[in-house]
Amino acid sequence: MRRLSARATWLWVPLAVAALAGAGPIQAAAPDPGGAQAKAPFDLTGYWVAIVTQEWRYRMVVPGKGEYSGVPLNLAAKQYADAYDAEKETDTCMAYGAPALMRMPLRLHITWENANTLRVESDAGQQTRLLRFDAAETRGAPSRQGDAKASWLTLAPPFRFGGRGGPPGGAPPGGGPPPGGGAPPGGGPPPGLGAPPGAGAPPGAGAPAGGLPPPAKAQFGTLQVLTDNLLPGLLRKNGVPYSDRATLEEYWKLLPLEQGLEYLSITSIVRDPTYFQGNSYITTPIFMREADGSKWHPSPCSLRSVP
Amino acid sequence: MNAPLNNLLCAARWSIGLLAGVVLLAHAPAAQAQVDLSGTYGNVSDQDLQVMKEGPNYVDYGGIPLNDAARATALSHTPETINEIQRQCQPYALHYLLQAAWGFRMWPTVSPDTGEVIAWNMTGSIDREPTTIWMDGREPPAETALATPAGFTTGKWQGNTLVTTTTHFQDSLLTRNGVPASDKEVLTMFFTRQGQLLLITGVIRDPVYLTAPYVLSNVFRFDAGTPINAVTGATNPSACTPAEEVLSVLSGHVPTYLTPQDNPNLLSVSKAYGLPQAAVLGGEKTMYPEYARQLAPDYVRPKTYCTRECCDSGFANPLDRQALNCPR
Repeated sequence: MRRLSARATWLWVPLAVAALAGAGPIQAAAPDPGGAQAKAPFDLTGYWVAIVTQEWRYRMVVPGKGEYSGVPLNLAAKQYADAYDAEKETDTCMAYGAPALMRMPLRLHITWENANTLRVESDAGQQTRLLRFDAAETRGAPSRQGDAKASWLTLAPPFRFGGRGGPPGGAPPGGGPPPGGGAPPGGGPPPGLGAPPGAGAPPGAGAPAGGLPPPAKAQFGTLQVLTDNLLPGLLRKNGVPYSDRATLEEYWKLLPLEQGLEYLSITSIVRDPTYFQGNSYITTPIFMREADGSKWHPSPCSLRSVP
Repeated sequence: MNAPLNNLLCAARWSIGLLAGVVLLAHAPAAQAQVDLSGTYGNVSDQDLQVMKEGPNYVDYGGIPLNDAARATALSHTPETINEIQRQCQPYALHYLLQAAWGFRMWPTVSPDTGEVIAWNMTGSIDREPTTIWMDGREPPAETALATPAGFTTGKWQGNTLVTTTTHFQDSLLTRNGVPASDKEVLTMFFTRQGQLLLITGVIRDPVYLTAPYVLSNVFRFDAGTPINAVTGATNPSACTPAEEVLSVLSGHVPTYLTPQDNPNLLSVSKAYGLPQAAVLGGEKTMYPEYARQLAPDYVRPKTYCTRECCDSGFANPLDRQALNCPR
């Protein structure tokens, strides 16, 4: 009996360690043989329209000279901006670089270029950002959209043993089907949304009593994008500059509501040791999903107004 | 079996067990409070600084999907309206969290028996009431239950994001320049802790005054070093004491503009910034990119140097301000 007990004990170690776990770490998803597309916790592909509800005037028209509010510019940057003359600018795409693009009033078309590259196109300015999940991609020369390294930050659905106290079968807290049992990405609002509070699976559902839930795929998460290797550009069309040393850190969140309404928030942190006073410039442009590309309106770059 | 071999096998079993445990641990977050939101958060968003600090311009509704009723109400709003004695201590509704420069402290209420998080609590600020986000699955109260500026909020986790729903608001202001919000407002907020940052996006739906959801975002940073009073604006709404201190609202005078033409600010923003008046009056269409194209032909870019909210970020040095034509 003692021998049997000793043999069985080591089997419980992993279960005990897991049971003692507190909040699981939010972690960058490891490289996956199926690629980032297969591992995507949510579906970003499709058409998105910018919802311009904040900083409306700075974004919808070219603001006047000296309107730099919010951007932590240093003296050199303000002098640059004050001297800036759009009429003399030869590169009309100066304001369409990655640090500024998502704040423009425009539409996005997001597709998978390949299993490890998310392609983000804009209609205004006709720019293309390539968000690469494969770190092995080679770096090119500095560019308007720079080199963007992407990763999914996911928090796996809860893990619990069956029996007393739940599992809600591995269901996300607040309701929804068990892991792996939800709608596929892009198949409408994620499970559990719009359900009344406490409408999740009953305790014990979704997993055999005493058994382990099936391997889980995260239903929610964040897309992190780190961009560098940029050409100098403008944060605002009135001449607010960023330099070739600027970097961009972004967090893309899908925000699903009931009735198929979906928003995308992109929290954007621009840092620039050349033109900023040590601080970062933090904004969060919002997009709303559109059913199709019927309102897609490609137009060339312009420093005067949005064509 | 001899003893050394037995010990070796035993050690191997434990090693395998620990390894498997670590693998499981990486995939085993807690079922309830998946992310600890506890802490003090200061506002670090750089967008709409003027709106957050001194407030929006009067008659400046671009990007707000307000309807005709809301616009009419907003146009009747005067700078003295909030000086009426019954309004002096009226807090803004919870959506003000997305428009204000103030931060907050957040902490859980935990079941002493199970350790489960029953609620997340948020402090108020100088002009916003505290909020409780109920996490225990309770239903909202009856429709006729007490309505307050903070409303009634429930929450649930979606992965690493706390999604909250707030109902039971009192009538209030959607914006500080007088756009109204009704007691039918429903506010959905998404809280995501990303490292030291707390990202909050709110979707405001109001069937009485809005024709589309009004979506706002704000960003806060975990800030344990700043005194909470400085983070939240030093006082709280309950400490407010109304007083008849503004002559124009004494003796029963009700500050209002009876018609839009009576509003002295009706054209001020469009004149100052070269915008068509229709754009300044807002509406759902002004939120979308096609409106930028519609605006372009009629927009006249200001020729004078900025005089408001233009040289505010760190340019305290008078010589710098002089060199940059900043207002003294």
